Amino acid sequence: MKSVIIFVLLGCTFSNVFAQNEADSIAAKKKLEYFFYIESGMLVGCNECGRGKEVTFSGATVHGAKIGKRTRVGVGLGYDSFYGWSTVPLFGSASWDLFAKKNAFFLQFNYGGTLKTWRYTEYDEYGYQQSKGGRMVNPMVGYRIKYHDASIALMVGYKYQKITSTYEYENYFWNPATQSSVAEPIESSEKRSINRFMISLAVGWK
Amino acid sequence: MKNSYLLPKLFLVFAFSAVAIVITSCSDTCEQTRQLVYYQPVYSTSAQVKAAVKLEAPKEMSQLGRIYFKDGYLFINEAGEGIHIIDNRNPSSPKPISFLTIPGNYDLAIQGSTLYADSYIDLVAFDISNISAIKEINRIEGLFNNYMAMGHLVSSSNGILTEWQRVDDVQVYETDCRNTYQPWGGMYYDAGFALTSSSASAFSNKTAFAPTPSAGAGIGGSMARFTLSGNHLYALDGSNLDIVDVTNQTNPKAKNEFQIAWDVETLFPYNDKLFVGSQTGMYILDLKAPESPSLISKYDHVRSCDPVVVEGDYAYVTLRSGSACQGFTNQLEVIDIKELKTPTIVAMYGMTNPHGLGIDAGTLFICDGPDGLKAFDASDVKTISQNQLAHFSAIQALDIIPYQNVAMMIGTDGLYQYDYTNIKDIKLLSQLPIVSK
Repeated sequence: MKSVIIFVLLGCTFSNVFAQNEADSIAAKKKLEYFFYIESGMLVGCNECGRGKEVTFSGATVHGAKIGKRTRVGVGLGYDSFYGWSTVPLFGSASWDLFAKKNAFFLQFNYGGTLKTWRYTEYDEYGYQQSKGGRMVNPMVGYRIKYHDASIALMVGYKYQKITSTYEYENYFWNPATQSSVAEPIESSEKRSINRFMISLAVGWK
Repeated sequence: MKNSYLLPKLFLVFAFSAVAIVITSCSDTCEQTRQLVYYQPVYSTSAQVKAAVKLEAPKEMSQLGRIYFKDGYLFINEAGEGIHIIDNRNPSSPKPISFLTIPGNYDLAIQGSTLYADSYIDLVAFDISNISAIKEINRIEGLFNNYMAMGHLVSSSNGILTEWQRVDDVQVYETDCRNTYQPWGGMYYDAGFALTSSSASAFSNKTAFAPTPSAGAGIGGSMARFTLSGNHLYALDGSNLDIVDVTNQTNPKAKNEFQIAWDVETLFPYNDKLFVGSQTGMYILDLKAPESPSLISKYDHVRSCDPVVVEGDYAYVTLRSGSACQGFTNQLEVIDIKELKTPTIVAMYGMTNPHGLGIDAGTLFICDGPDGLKAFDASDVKTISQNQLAHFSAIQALDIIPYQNVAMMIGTDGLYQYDYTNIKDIKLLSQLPIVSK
C-alpha cells in the first residue's frame, strides 16, 4: 500500500510541478487540462486452468490532468473480479500518446494496491481464514477517438494482482501412545499472483 | 509521409503479437508458506542404549508409571527412564535406595531374583539377588516388534527410536494454486510428524514413547502390561501378547506371539487364566498351554479404559472416560466369571474417574482419580457401594497393590501406603512425594 501511495503522490507531484513550471506561461497553462474516463472490460485468464479460461469483470474510473498534448497523469479507483476473489484497487495512472493527433494510439501504465479484497463464500476452501490484496500492475495499449471534448478508447493489456490468503487446518494426528488426537490448527499463507489479459472500453471527457 | 503510416502499422503488429502471447499465458502462480514444528526421529544404536543401563543413587520421583512389589521392596517405574528401588520392609518409613536407569522403560515384572524390564524394543533381565548391586544378565533384543512411537511403526533398520527432536520449520514453495492440504487436515512426513507451535509446547517425549495407558512372581498393579504366570512372562506388545519362557530365570527365551486386539491395555493373571483389559471389553485367556493361550471369551463393554482384577468368582473392572480413553463412562463393573465362557455382569457402580484397582480378601481398593482412594467391603458384590470402608480424598490416585495388609498406592504426587489390618480403620502409613520437573 505504501508503494501505491508513493506512486499516486508522485503522479500528483509531477502534475503540480509541471503546472508550476509552466505557471509563467499562459499558453502552457492552457495545456494543463482536467480529464477523466470510466472504463469497463474483462479480464481473461485462469485460476485453475483445467477448467479453461475464465472471463471476469473489470471496471475503473481515472481522474487526472492532461499535460501538454500527449501526457496524462491521474489517480484511479476500480473494481476487479477474479475467480473466487474481488478487489478494489487504488492506483496511479500515467499515459502517453504515441502521436500528437486528435485520435491516437497511447500507452498507459497503472500501478497501485488494493483498498479491499473479498473472497466469495462459495469458493471458500477448507481452512480459509482471510484474504488481503497486494500490488496491482496494469500496462495497457489503446486507441482513443475524440469527438469534441468527449472521447472513447479501446484498451488491451495485462493486469497483475497479488492476493495473500491465510488458512488454518485442523491437525488431526492420532497418537497411539496416548490414544488421543491433537487438534491444533496448522497455519499457512498463500501468495497468489494473478495474471490476466485485459480488454476494456473507456468513455471520458477530454 | 510514408513514415507517418508505417509507425501505426508497426505498433499494431507489435500490440497484437503482445496480446496473443499474453492471452495464452495468463494463469495464476502461487507461493505457499507453512509454519510448523517438525519432530524428527532420532535413532540410537543398540550399543548406545545398552551402555546407558546403570544402577545409580536414588533419584527424585517425577512421573511415575507401573508399581511392583517383591520381598519387601518396591519397584516403581519412572516413565521412560528406569526404576526407583525402594526398601519397603518398613512401610511406615520407605527408603529409596537406588535408581536403575533403563532407557525406554515403562513396565516390569519379577520372577525369583530376576527382574524383567522393557527397554524400547528389548526385554532386559536383571539379577536383583543383591539389591545394592543389580546388574544386567541377559537381553532379548527386538522382542517388542510392535513398539510404536507417535504413530510410526519403528523399523529396527534405522536403529532404535529414542527421541523426537524438535525442528522449527518454515516451508516455502511454489504450487499450482490448488489447496494442497487434505480436507481432514494434518500432515505426515516420511521421517516424522508435524505439530503447530502450540501443540509442540505440550509435546512430551515420554508420552510419545509410552505404551497405551495403564507391574514371583511379585505383585503388580492392575495397570500392568507385564505379568508372570507360572514360568512364563506375558507382555503386551501393541495388539499382541508376547510370551517368554522364564523357566531358566537368567536365560529368558522368547516363545510365541499371540494376537489379541488392537486396544488391549492391561494384564491380570489369575490361576491358569489371564484377564486382559481392553478399551472395548475384557478378554479371558486360558493358559493351560502357557505358550499357546486360547481365548475363552470376551466380555464387551462401552469404549473406555478398563483395568481389571480378579478374586474368586468375580472380575472387577473399572471403566473411565477421558481424552486418552474416549467414552463417557466412569464406573465399576462386577462380572460373574463362574462360567468363563459366559461372563455376565452382576452389578455396576458409578465412580468419578476410576483408574487402577486392587482386591485382597474381599477388600476392594479403587483409585478414583481426582476423587482419591476408596476402599470397599466387596464380600457382597451387589452392595459394594453401600459398604465403603474408607475414602482418602484430595489425592489423585492412579494404581494400587494391596498385599499383606499394606496397600501401596501410586498417585500423581507420590507413593502412599495404607495399613488395612483393621479394615474398619484404614490408616495412612507413609508418603514419598514426587518432585515436579
